[in-house]
Amino acid sequence: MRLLRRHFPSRRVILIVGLVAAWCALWNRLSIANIVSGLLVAVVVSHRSVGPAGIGGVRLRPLLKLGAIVGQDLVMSTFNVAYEVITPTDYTEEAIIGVDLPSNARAHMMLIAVAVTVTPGTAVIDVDPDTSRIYLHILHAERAEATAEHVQELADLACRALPMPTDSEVPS
Amino acid sequence: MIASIALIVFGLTFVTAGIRAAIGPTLADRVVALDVGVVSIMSAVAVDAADTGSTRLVPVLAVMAIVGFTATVAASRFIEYEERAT
Amino acid sequence: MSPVAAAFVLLGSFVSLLSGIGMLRFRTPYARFHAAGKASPIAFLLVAIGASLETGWAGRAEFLVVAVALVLTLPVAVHLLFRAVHRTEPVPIGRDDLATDTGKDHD
Repeated sequence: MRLLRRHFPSRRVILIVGLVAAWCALWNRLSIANIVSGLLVAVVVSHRSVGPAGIGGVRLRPLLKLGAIVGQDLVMSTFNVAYEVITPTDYTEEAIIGVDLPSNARAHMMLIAVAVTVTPGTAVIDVDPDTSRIYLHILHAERAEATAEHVQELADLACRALPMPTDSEVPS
Repeated sequence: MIASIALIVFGLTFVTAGIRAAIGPTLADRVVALDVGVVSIMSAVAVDAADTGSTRLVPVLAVMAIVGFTATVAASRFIEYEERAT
Repeated sequence: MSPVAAAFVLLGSFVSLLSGIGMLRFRTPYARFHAAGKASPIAFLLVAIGASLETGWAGRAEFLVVAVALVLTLPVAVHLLFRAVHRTEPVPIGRDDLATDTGKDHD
């Protein structure tokens, strides 16, 4: 049982379930053969030596909050871009700002980058993994402070939603 | 009727993307214009699925999403590499 | 097509047209990437919602997979283009922390 838990931590189980669901959706049919073959593929793909490390846990409430904020940002950014396109005068004043993230956000850079890019008027240009400093391009320079705060909040939520295990818990 | 209107509008989007792809000015502009073109074609296929209610063409959408992403990533790597080589 | 599905499809096509116009109108490459990277996945999402109201559950599952793939991959692709432009032929803009920090100030 402990061996099972060590090799299948909760995040990997969720990943496997999601991959099997996607596999069945792409085959367009829910059958025993599809589930078994999907399980085989998912277990191989989610292994440490192949894909991303499925280690660490998942906390549901911060994850849901992160999803809600990202969804809201997605809608807001559409209105933002639509407003800039429709109004004839150009209010955009571009700037590239650097935002310092907490150092444990390094493991979630991909998630944060996607979440930030859908935030209204921002996009990730570059990431410095050593200092975990992230460079954003923003459309409205006067909202730089608010944007930086929003991004730090997103990074904080991502760290709380997907906590990385301490070194002693990582199976070697 | 509604499907035709939506298809015409997606066609207009494709035309604007084509204009941007033609006039540039940077290579990255052309690449992102082609990306928007791919997404507008994907949306047009989805409109067809909404119109007829059949899912025959939906696997095509998955393939187009993956091919479009891979093409953009390859092109952006090419842009960076080309600059370094000269 | 039911009225709700038709409304979603029309809204999606409108957003898509906005992103196309934005691609033409914005002056710097960065702003054009903003228009391309945000409005077009939303347009596809709206049309996919409209289409999944018309198809059965199998179609809905497939649309979900495609929509998730698009929403996750398009920001990454746009980010790579941003980085490529900034590294090769940066456009001078008001405040540029990245150029200042890496010592490649282009003024």
